[in-house]
Amino acid sequence: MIVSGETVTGDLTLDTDAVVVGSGAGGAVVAALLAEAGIGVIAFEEGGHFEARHFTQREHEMYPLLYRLGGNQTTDDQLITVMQGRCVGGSTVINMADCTPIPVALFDHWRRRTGSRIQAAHLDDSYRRVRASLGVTRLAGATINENNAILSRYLARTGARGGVFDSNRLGCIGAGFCMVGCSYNAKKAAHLTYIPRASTAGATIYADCRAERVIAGRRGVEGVEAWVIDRATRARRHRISVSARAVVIAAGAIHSPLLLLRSGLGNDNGLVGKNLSLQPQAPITALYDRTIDVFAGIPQTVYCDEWETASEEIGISGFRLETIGAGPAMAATVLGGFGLAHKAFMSQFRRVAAMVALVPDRPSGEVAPGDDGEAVIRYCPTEEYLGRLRAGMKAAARVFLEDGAGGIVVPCEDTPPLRSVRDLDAIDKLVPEPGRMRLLSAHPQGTCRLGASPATSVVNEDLESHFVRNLFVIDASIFPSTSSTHTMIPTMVMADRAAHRLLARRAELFGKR
Amino acid sequence: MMVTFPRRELLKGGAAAAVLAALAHLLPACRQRDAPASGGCGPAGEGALSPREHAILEAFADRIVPPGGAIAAGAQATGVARAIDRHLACHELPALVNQFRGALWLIELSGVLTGRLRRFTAMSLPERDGYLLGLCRSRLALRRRAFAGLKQACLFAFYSTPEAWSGIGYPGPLLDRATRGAGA
Repeated sequence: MIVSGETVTGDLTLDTDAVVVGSGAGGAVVAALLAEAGIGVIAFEEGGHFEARHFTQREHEMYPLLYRLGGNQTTDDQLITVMQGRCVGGSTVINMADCTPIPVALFDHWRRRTGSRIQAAHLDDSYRRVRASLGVTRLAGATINENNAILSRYLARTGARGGVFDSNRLGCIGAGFCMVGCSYNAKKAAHLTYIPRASTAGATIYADCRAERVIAGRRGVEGVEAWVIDRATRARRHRISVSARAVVIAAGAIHSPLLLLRSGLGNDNGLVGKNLSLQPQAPITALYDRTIDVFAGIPQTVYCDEWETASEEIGISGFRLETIGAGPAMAATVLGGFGLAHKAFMSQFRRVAAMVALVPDRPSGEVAPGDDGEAVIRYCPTEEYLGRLRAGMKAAARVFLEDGAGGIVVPCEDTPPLRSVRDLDAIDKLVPEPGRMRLLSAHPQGTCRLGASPATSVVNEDLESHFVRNLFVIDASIFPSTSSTHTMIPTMVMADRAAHRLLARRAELFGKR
Repeated sequence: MMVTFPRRELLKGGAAAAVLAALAHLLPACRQRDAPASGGCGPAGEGALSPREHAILEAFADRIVPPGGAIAAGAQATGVARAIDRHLACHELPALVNQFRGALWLIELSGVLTGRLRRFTAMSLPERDGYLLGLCRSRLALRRRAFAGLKQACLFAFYSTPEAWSGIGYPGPLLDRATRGAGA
């Protein structure tokens, strides 16, 4: 059952086996698997519950509805916009439906960093189950729009490594509005897959409910205190107190650590909220002399990972290029300049192409609670990262120019369009200064990292807190470093594995066979 | 609606800029909370900005998206300031809204307080353009970020309007097109 907050008319005191906080890639999987195994589940989702009929394909209506802070969550210096879904289904509702695995070499890197003994083979069954649940398939050639075809041609012409994404779409008509929710139920996000499974199996999902505090005693977790909030004003309406034998925090890499810190739990080693990776992306825009229609068709189907590496020593490094679509409102905000010059560029919107240089980072940020209950996200890009960012931006610009684009626009206030390969050296001089440059992040990770040792990690390999019994963190927080260039599948397979490990202890945890 | 403006602005922009912004908040004219200017989420449908703040936003939006040029419509004709004000009134973080207001006053008074120019709204249109160019290229992060945050809000609001869509050849939501097609 999914309960919208507006239908709750008074304070509630409840009892269940497990509380799940968050309904995105981590929480939805755990809620479904526990409920289907006969475990009582209550899930809290801070955002609302929306369906295809609510998705109007209008950016100014959908961003406030589906995104945390309406898409305005930024690092504290405003350099990086950190985009996260806040609705039943979480970021799976507003993502590009790209399905990428965790590189095999990464497991050895994590062993080196935190002593984790999880290996790729341990996740084989989870991959199989998750891919089947989401209906993951390789996108077909006919779905590649003109913007993505630019990168396809580059791959064919140069032999560079890359390909077409696997995707959790079924019956997609290529409308192009993936980032503001699929109006056709073609993107098989968590709100269409795992959440209905959880609900059918008896879980209760409270939408518009913010988990305020996890309660724990000497023997482990005891429950969760949550508030039903007004969807428009975010004001508290009613308190929900739940007693539970286990609590799973799955509120994402920004807000899971905040909940732990607010609760004063699980931070004995001071690592909660540390180790943040944002994987910042630089959007590169190009102007063609022919129609591209970057807003039409599946926005992201092709990638080039020629320059991406994964090794035991440093994890994922290098950079990759991915084409990207966007509506006019979002596209307009990443362009530099203003006035008639900005209008002149936007008037050619149908001839605009776009790509992102996606640059896996080393953990170099942290999350802390702000006075207003939201996150303070501090992030300091390293020089090593900035070098790869500039290389990625130049590579994207070169792909466009070699394809016949007439000008390249980088996401900086005062950098004029780059007209030729000779101009690309200007990118080497770019300094990512707040208010001058704008970067985007859609894959925050790492703030409650997993590992074998309580000295160097927040949760163990079963994703249970080293310090509080029966308290689990199951979302992108747990990755010791960037897990993949897209985090939905890595998060879901780790959640699937963790849920099965948790169920193996059902007698101990819940007194059930 | 994208209204990007960071918290802890005063702590990050350097001492001179911090003093500037603090002064802007302290001036009686800046604190004036007379009748709200636009309809919004409040009990009586009010917006978040005072008429003076609304006027600054209107003047700012008019230079970010002026009328004419390659797209006929501009911020004024499409109600960009009104849309932002309404959005601010519905915003979940009052602190963020207050900082948006602070950014408006910084735009309005930054020239006066540095002893160089008039208030933003008292400048001629070419002066406003030159002044804003200076803000976005400023050495002070506070000024750049105030400009960038307000600019993004104006652009997002403008390019959410059908008038802008027709100016750039964007056909709008596919759902609307399907509806129009069915009704034709």
